Amino acid sequence: MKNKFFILLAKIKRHRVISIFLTIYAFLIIGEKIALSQENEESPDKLSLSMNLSTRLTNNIRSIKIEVSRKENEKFVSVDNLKSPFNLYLNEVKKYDPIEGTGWLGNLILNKKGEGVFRLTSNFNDLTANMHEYTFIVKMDSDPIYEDVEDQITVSVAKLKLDYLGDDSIKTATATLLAYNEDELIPVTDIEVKLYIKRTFNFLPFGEEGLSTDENGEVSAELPLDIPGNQNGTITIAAKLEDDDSYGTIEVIKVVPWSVLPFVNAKRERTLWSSGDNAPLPLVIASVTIIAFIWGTIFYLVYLLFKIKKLSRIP
Amino acid sequence: MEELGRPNNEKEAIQMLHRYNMDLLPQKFGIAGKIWVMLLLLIIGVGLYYYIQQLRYGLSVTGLSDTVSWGIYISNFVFFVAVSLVGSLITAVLHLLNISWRAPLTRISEIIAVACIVFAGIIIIVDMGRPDRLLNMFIHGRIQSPIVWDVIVVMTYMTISLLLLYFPLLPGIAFCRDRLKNIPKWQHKMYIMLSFGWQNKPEQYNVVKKAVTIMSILIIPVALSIHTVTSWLFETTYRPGWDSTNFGAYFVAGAFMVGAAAVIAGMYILRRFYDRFDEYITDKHFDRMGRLLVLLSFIYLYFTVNEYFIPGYKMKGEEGEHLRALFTGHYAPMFWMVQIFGMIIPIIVLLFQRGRKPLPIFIMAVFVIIGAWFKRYLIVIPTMLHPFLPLEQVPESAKHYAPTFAEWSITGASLAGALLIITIFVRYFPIISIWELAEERAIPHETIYKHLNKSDEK
Repeated sequence: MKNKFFILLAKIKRHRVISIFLTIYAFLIIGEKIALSQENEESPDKLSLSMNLSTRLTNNIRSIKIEVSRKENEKFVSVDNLKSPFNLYLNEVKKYDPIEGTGWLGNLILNKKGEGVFRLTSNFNDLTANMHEYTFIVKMDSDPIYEDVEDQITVSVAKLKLDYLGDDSIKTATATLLAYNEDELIPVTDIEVKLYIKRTFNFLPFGEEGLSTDENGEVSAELPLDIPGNQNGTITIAAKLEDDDSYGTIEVIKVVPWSVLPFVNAKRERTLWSSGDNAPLPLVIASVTIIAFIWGTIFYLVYLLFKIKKLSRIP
Repeated sequence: MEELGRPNNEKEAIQMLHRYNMDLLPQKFGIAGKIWVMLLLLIIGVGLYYYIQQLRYGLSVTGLSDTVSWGIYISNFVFFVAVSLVGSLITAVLHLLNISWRAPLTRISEIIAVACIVFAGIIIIVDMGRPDRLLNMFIHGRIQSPIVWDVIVVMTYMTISLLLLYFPLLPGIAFCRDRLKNIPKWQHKMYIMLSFGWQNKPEQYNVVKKAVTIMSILIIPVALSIHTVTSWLFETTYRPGWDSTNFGAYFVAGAFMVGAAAVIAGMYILRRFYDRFDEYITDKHFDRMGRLLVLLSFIYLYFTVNEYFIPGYKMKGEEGEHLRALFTGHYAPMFWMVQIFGMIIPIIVLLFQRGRKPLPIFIMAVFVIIGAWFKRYLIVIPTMLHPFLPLEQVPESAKHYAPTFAEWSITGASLAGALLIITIFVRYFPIISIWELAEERAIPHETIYKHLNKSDEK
């Protein structure tokens, strides 16, 4: 045993640079683990969280987004080690009431960024058809690290419609925003509703900037005619009411017919912007020639290297 | 510090060779060397730790965003590519021009080139975030894309640089194999394996010389390509500051300048820490390299005037906005520090003979190197923050870029990694090529073949 220890010691001595490097590295990793565990164990008082709720209604499907963060060195940082589920309730914290449609709706565990989204099913609207205002309550308790947290958000029910009217010369999109006044849907006036066309990565706004709903609850704008649609002859348009205090975010996304088709390299032309197998021939020939010449020379140099070895065997 | 002269007869030639054999063997590090290695390992360790964090959490640990998707990783990549160009400058250009004082500097420049190009390749993989996606470059790469050209040319230059280092090193490795006693077994095995059966035969020398000549010719267009293609990565992107026809030549000129400065810094450090190296790397070498650096700095100054001050005369549109940020705006302190300390002051100091003495020229070389790193920062980041399309509907954080500690650590680790390669090389291999030095000092070939690597004959 003692011998083994001395052998090990001798090995460490022989490879001392590597050993010291590994030791420092191990210290770094262990240090982080200790710091984390201390962070978790040190405080019998649990860490406090701040929670932010927002709602979104997309094509009549409602979702509630939860974002939590905590303060560290005067900065908000995301929470990545939450293990306890967040529960969602409608109107009051209780078991689900199938008659009223209120109470517990579900739960979820947040992702590593401290975010999570509840997506309510389409029959949620049917079950709560008589409600014109929702109060969503989100609650998390019994987490070993974090204090219990609860927050709520109240949204009024509103409907956003998107109509499209198009011929060859003018194509118009009209969004209409309606909300309940007692049991009747009436137009909502003077609220900014934006109109968009979906592009590859994001939504491109069109129409005048800062368009607000008129007395009919409508905003209207002409679509730019030079924007290419997709190969099916359609384009996706959207109307969005964004982060409204009363209604949250409401968006309607609609696919409409479109006559401007995207550029398609139907003839499979060889261009700089084509796919790799349709590269311009002069470019391919030049590249292949240069690469072949240079790498051919490199292989010749490797051959010379072996020639040196061969020469050493000749007396 | 007397320079070693030329031999008058064979006896003197043999004595000189024996002296080279004694002086130029790789030496064990002293305390300073060990501390240096530890420091580099520590920096690399911290960088590795943060790289693992980056692999776990993605590029969100960096200050990069959709707006500034190229940050200091790419600046560092361009810097490494620039410094690596020195291999072709000192070895190939001076070899083909048959410059008589180059021998003690060739291997220094070659190992700097290899270390830098290796880390240029590594840092670009670090910047990708997902290293496994490098494979996509080979599976789905388009020959029309400058990024594919860059990958091809970096791999090609790395291979040629390695061969250019390796071929003339063969006699040196054999020299270590036969001369170094009391070394660990692994080290001896390494020398046996790497010496490729070298026997100091005239025919073997002929093959090495032939290979070096081929590579000296081959590496010049490849070296010019590597930095030109790197400049095209920017130039083919339509952005203020990059939309320039001057970029290829500008990048190459800057690379030669910083490469020469890197060799000067390496020369000074070796001379400072190795006994009797002042007899091989003499004041004359510093003077010549100083003159070369001045010439390259003037060329770079010429391109800088064309690149910045002529567009600055017009100040048109977004280009003007970008230039204002450099001349008088947010980046002005860095921009002017780079121009003054990284170019103007070195030019002025090195114009005078006293300025080309080892210590002043070393300080100027360090100025040039630091200036060159920040110059690459100025090429990449301000342009990323001034696109032609206005930054609309982006979070406030996307309008600014500040590298995070993780980025600095990883970047620092890459620089330390390159220095570690050079350090390890110096520790285990002769950093001055004995046979090339002997040839340069007019020692007859027959004497070299017969007496190189033999210490016992008196």
